[in-house]
Amino acid sequence: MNSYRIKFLPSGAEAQVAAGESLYDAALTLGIQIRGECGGQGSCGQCLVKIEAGDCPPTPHASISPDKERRGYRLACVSRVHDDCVVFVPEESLTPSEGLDFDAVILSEDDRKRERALVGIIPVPPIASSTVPHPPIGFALDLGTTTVVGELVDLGTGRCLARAAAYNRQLSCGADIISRISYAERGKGRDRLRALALETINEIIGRLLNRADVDAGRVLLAAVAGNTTMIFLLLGMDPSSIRRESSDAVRTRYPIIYSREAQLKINPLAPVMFAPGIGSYVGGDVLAGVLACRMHESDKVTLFIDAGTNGEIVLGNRDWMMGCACSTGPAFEGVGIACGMMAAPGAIEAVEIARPNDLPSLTVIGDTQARGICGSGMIDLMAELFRHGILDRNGTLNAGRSARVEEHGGRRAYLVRKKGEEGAAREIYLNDVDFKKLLRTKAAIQAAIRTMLKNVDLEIQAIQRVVIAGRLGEAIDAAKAVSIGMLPDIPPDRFEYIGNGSLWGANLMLLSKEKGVDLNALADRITYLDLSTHPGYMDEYVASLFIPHTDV
Amino acid sequence: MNSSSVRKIRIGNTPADGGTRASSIEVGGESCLPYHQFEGIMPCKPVIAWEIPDVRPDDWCETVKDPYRELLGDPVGWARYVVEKHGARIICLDLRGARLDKENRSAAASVELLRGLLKDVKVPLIIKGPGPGQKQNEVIAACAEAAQGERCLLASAVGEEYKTLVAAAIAYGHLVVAESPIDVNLCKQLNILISDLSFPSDRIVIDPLTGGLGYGLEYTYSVMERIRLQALSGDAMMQMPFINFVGGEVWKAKEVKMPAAKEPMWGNERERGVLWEVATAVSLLYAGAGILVMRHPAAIAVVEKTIENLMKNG
Amino acid sequence: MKLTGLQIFKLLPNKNCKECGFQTCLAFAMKLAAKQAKIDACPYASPEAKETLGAAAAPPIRLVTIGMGERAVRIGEELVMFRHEKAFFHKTALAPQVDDLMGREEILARLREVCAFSVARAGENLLLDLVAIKEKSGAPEKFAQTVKFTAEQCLLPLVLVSKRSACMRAALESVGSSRPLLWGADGNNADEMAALAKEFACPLVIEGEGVEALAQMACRAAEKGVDDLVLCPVSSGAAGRLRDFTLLRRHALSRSLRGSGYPLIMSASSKGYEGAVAAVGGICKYASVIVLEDPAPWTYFPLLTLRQGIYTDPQKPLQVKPGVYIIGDAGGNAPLLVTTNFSLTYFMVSSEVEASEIPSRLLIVDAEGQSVLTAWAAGKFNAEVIAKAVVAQELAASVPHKRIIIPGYVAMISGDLEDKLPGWNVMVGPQESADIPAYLKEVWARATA
Repeated sequence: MNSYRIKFLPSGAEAQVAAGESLYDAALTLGIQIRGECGGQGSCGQCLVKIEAGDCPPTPHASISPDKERRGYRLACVSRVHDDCVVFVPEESLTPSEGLDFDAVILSEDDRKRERALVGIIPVPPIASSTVPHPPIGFALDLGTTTVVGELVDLGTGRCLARAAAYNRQLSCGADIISRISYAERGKGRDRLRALALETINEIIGRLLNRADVDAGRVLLAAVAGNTTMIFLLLGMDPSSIRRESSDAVRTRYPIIYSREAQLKINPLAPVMFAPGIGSYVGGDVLAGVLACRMHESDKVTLFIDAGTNGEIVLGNRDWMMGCACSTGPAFEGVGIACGMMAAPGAIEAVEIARPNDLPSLTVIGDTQARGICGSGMIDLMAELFRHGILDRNGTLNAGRSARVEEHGGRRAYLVRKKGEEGAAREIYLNDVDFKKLLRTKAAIQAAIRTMLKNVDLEIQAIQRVVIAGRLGEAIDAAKAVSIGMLPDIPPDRFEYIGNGSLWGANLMLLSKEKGVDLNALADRITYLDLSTHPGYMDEYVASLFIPHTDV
Repeated sequence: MNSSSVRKIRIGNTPADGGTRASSIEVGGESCLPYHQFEGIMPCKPVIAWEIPDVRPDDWCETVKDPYRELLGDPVGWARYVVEKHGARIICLDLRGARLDKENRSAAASVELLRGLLKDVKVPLIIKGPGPGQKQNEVIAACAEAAQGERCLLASAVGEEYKTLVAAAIAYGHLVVAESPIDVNLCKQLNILISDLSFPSDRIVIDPLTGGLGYGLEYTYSVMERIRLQALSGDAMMQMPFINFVGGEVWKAKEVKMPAAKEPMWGNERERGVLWEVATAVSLLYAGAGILVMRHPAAIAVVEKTIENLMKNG
Repeated sequence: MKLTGLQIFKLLPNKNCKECGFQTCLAFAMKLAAKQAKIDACPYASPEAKETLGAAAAPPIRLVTIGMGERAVRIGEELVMFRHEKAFFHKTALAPQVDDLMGREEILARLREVCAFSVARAGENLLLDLVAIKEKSGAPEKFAQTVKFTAEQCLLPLVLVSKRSACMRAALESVGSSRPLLWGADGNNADEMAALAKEFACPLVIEGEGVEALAQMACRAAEKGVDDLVLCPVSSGAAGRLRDFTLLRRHALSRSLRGSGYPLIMSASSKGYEGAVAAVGGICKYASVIVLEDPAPWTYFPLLTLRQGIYTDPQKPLQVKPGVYIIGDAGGNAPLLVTTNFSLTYFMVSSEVEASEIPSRLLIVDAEGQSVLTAWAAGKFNAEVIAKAVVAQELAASVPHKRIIIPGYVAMISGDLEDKLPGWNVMVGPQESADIPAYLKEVWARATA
């Protein structure tokens, strides 16, 4: 069957799409949720997109004037792919994240563990006082590039009252940090990104208040952890310096401001704290993670990895710490991978292949039909294919090794599921280009770890504890990630998953004031290593573009 | 040879080995840095392969065409001349004429030429294909078959297409040049990938990609030093000898073509050009070159003598 | 012994006071380990730390200066055996030679050649560094006259070559205050030459057979108060020279042989190609000064080009020269692709274009040697940069179809680029170079059909 390359603007995300598939579905596989109340009937007219290049026949609808039609406007849900296209998705056609049912997934078992841990560390109720009838409530926020998660916390007991998550609405302006910065540099881009961030956050706050059944006025303290760019954009600051200045110049310290200035819809006089940044691309979210895993209090040499769109890594212990960022790209979050998706219901999160020709056995989030594959599933798949010799060391599929390797849309692909197999609703595959992207992602992380170790002349075995945070963490199979070289080859009992370290850290900021954790001082203790100008990094990176590594 | 030596490789089969070459050539085998015979052994001296294009090389500059004038369109005669008159020990047949942007000669034409050369000239051969693309695979596969059993060195396995060339070398008993773009890791990766095809490591020669003097020579130089240091510290996937395609890189530079009349400071262009090739080649010798593919007879003579001097125990 | 960053860090106060100019003590420690900072920058370092780190930081090879003023030549202070380990720092100085048996005209002719030589290449003016004057006459007065004459005609620092202390003294009477290099001392005249070097405050070459014996001679000279030494091992042949220079450099860097920590000098005695070949060996392997005894003028440019390459900083990313590269027989209708000047990017793109067998033009823009996405992220590969390159290369004139193909990874700049290049059609190419052949055969062919 033919397939075509579809590119979505403004995010720039691309997918190889089978002929006849709708633009709507194609966008969905990239994590771009286009509106569509009618469920793809071509009736509601909410899914307007603009064809910038390529052929796509008109889709008559009342919402499309003849002039608009001439300018390339189409309904995404009924436009069937039959040519390479560049498709612009207007802001108003994007769905608000309310519709996405991933709160339950994002806030999983780990968070409950975390809650117990939090309760344990609070010696006395910090702000509670007898004069306040109800215990005051705090708002903890993890402001991620892709995902935003918030919690309401009882400041008296430390208990979590409600949690909610949403896609960052800025996604429509670019999938990664650099795209956002460059969007902010154009026209009113900065204003718009700020508005989108606030929309996302305030919508989460609304849901939280609803769920916990409390009044906004009772939320008296907020803590925000996010990467430097996200915080700059939320505060309406110019993010250009982040990518232009030398990294040390962007060791950000934010003042505590009132929520009315921050425009958060909680008590207008509630102080809002921001986790300080360590360097341009190692932000407060990482600092929050360090706080959460308490590596700064431990003698053990700890490697903290937050493998999000931007991979951030901190190495060290109570005596010294070093942090760096590596641009992993959004592949592990499902963006830019033909059948990739976020870790949400329907995503394959684990894969096992018994013999080269066997149908892979899958674990799917939410126990539903598989719709796509998320980061941990991709790592598993790479490891399994490599183990069976189906994937070469340089990330090329080997046609002769498995009957499941086929030509697909002009590329070689491994078919995880053919349509109808085990009742699969759609075909799920990864092609040569996908594997190259995954290889680069794993190489970026591996090279960053190796470069950091070299900088302090430590061997891999010197790492006594590995803490993995972020969405990748929960389902990740450490042994498989080790087998492809993404994680260091050390005994499995040294790995630990803490889930959303950034949110956890934000909680600690709310609750542990009495313990006197001085975040700025903590940030000062972390030495920033700029990989982009580090002479050894490129070498390490090229050496890591090999499974498991050139030197293994 | 111990585990931290460069592998010794042999090019060319004599009748004793089932080929028709009058001699064979060995390179590699050293257990020390280049010419460090005070602390190791260097059993084979580097060799110079004379580059012979299959078609009239109109793009060669005058300085390097001059010594071959009447031979330019006659590759077999040219090869015979360098063997008989200059004692060439190995020839590099460059099948550039098969390139689409040259004469787009067919694989059959390349094979015919090769057969003639094998019959008339009895030194070992390097067969250099027209470069990446479909044509490379056709031409090299056909030539590999035509030269079956002669243990030629096939150039070059490169990029994603390495498998075709390696398959031809396996099928017909040849050696391969593994080419990677001036990078230690990419070099090793390609060697591993080729070895993963069950191709013996003592039939691989590394082309680290050569930059001519003034055009990235120092990058090639350092990459070779790094590869060699790793080889000597026991990294088996780095222990192959080097080949450097010197002539082609040198003689396209403006520095060898510019007449002294236009740039008096640069000096006489003939001698300057020859020295350009010599300086490139000699630097690469210091970095560990095993086979140097060169063009100008005067340059080759100087480099031959330099090799003799460096091989003498000081 | 070389200390690691963490070992140094443990010697520091860990106050993170930033007074050294670095954000943290660890950052400072890593700079110290990389020898990019000095312990003196830390106001709170303990005396023990200063002692330990100060000793470790002293250069293993002495810095020696020849001559005075602007054209003074600095040699030594090298830190590595192989340039990829860090870099070679003080370029090999080339010293064409004249002698006191040459006629004035002959000397003048060579000096003119040498002093006037200047070729601009890759951002540097390639120049010769020194003039050597060899005493062949045995007559102090004659040597002194030649030296005086040469010094008047030529502003380059001098190397005075004589084993006769009387000749050397006579020459130094006229040029002794300009810090020439004295070559020099050997087993017979060491004490007298050392006395001259001390009296006139000049650097001195010590010549001797055998690495250990030579180092001992250097120690004796140093004991006599001559610190600025240059060593010349007397070796047989190219292999012997390589051995002795390598061993001396090794000893110096590992501080395993007292008296070995000085720069090295050699002479290329042959004419023509062979002299040049000897110099090539010296430039590659550890010579700080090479005297060219009978140089041909056409050897200067190749040798200086080699020296420029060997002494560039290898940590700089490997770049290709910005400009338009023609692949195949590309005429006006050939596609025009643009990418960055990172060498790997260039190699990947150009080899795929070659493999497509569609003659094309490749516009390489200066993105400081970074790959497409890295350069874009740092603002070095954007619409402005590309538009500037298109204008600078006057492509509007040579590309009638006015189409430019940008890498798929920077699709987001296509609009900006069209704004900045009015009349041009910006096409978004594939993200992966492997897809270029298919793209050219299908998308490009369709677009231009």
